[in-house]
Amino acid sequence: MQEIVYEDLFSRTFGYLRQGGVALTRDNALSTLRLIEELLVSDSREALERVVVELPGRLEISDISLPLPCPPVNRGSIGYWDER
Amino acid sequence: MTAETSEGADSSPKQDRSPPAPWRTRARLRRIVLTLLVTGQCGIATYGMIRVLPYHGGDPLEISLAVVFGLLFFGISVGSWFGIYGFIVRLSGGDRLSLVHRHPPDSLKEVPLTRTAVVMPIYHEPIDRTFAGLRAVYRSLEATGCLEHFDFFILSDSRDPEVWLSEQTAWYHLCKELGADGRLFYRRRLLNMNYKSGNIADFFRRWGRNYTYTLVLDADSLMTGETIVQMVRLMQVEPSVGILQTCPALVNARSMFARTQQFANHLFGPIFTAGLAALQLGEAAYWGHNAVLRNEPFMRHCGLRRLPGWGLFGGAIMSHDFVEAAYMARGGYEVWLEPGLGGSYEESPPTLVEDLTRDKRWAKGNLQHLWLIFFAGKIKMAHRIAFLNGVMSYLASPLWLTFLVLSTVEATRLVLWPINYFPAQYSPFPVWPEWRPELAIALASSTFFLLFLPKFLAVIDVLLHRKTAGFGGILRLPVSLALEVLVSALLAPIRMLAHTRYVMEALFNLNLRWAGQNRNSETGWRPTLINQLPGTAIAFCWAGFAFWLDVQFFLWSLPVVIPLILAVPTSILLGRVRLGQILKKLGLLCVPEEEQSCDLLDDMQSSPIARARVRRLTAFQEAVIDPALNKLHQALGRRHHGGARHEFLHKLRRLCLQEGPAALTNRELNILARDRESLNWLHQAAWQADQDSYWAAFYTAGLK
Repeated sequence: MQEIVYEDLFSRTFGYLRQGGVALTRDNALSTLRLIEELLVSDSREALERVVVELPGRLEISDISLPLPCPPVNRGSIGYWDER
Repeated sequence: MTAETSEGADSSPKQDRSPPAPWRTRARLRRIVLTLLVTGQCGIATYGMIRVLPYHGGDPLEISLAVVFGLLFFGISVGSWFGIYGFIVRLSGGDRLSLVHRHPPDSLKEVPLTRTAVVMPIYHEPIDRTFAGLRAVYRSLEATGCLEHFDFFILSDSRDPEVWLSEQTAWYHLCKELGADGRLFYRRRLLNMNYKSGNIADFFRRWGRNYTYTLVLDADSLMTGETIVQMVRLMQVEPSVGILQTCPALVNARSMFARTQQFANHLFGPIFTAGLAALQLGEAAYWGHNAVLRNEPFMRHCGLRRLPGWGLFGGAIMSHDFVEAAYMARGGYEVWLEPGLGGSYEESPPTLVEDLTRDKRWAKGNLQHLWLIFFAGKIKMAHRIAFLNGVMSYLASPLWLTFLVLSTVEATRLVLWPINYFPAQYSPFPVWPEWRPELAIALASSTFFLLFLPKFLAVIDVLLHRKTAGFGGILRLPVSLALEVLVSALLAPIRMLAHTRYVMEALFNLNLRWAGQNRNSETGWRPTLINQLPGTAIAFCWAGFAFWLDVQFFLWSLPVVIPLILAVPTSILLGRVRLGQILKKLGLLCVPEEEQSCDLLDDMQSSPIARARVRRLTAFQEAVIDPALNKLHQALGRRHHGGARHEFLHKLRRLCLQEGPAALTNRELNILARDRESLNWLHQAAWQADQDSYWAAFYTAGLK
């Protein structure tokens, strides 16, 4: 039973890295393994839940530089012809 | 984005309007000549028709026939003279009054540019094509070295979360690819009121004051940077110009239908648009895209009130462009159509069904202009005529159908009813009905001559300008021309019936669904059958009746009947991409942009727009699963407040987590996907969900 949880933990972690577009460099691999080690010290079930919460902070997955969607609004108005 | 303001944009032309512009006198003269030619020609033809009719217009039926014929002939004659005018203008090296002639590109080099927005309103468009097109325009402007004066806006009205989430993702990747952070913007309206014109008005209300000019692009538009820069400079040196419109050429056609349209556009377009521009001069129409607008007067004069009438003539104006041009002119500004500006492109609908679907919207929009013709104050006569021209382009179809019905009644009367020797009331003189086939043939021949004359002039124009190579060469050009004529002849009766239906639907104000266009797929059998089968049935009935009535009348009916009977296979066949590509390989229906490469098109097709990392995920699933995209959509989302809304969102989230997005309606997905907190919650909950949950299937999606 415990084996399944471990397998799930690794597969989920790896899936998250791939989805996040994180290249598995030596540093990234080490950081990931370190995080898993830390989490497994407490509880394997909890590790499963916490890994995706902690991983982005460790690897800066979510640090996408978001372009500016829109410039600041400079409110103007549209004129209508007076038909009267 | 720099905070440069639109200084100097407020220079209303009214201040320096004292001497009338020289083009106005010339425009008046040209229009008078056209009116005399057309009315004279039309009068002769109508008289000829009266002579052809057995009772020579002696009863209400024949009077009606002559009137309807006169109206139809008027339209044909106007079109023909536009072509002839254009041919003469091009033969003489272009119109000396046009802006491009008055300010050749070399004289504009030192003219400073100013802040200009490039806006692309979109609504459920094919994302890859749309964004690739915008990328090509961006790069082309970048290559001119003038990019710093331009900002780009994608103005989305899309409602389907699958579409707008994909748009957001594509925008993000495009910004990264182009390094366009702070220059390429994306805005989605949550409330898309008043269709496309409302979308653009919303842009003007928010950011219009930041820019002097706005270049409006359609989702399928392409424009070269050089042309855009030239247009802005022309607007700079001509402060009285409010709208500068290019003549977009059709490109990128794949199906046979689109290739035929594209060929006709490239071959006949130059002389027709040259003629149109020569007659309109500074009182031209705006076609809604591939045009530069002067922001300050546009915002001041071009607000579109809802029509105050009933039925069709109540509510939002649907075809806004002609109206905006008329309002701009009413505000004292000029509107120019400039055929001399190259590097402006758009695409044709791929199939007949799509083409007719677009016509359905346009028919209703154009018929609404009837209200403006009669009730809008201070609109210039040239623009009222432009409205009328638009209305007639659709009313011509019911008129043609009426003509066919009246002809059938006339033929029936001659065969089945006893001869009436006294068709005119109170006349003591008997009239013997006489049938003059030689005059009928002469009249039909002269009508065909008028229809085909501009086409032959267009071919001569190509020969004179030594452009035959662009159309496949001197041997293939006539074959392509014959193909185009054949396709036009096959499509004309189909369009007649369809347009008649649209006009009736519009006049009776039947509901109209405003939908995005299918810009690149083939047509299936089902929509084709729904579209064309009623016409085919009518044609069979009419042909059967004509054959039973009189064989000669049956033969006269064949040019209308055969295309209608063949409407379904014709429509399917013309929509086939394979057939279009075979013809392309044979060098038929070719256009210069295909024969000589076009940098803009090559760039557009160079590489696909980066979007999803895992193709089999839907945009919503991706927004939940993908960590980076989840952050992106969160950032573009909103934070919702209020207890009741929160409760509703919580309920939706839980349902989505347990059963997946399929358990939610599109409206619910829309609400969820634009809520920042829900996206964050779903992302974490999905990745923490149990192995047997709906979302567990996607953990490994990234592994494949």
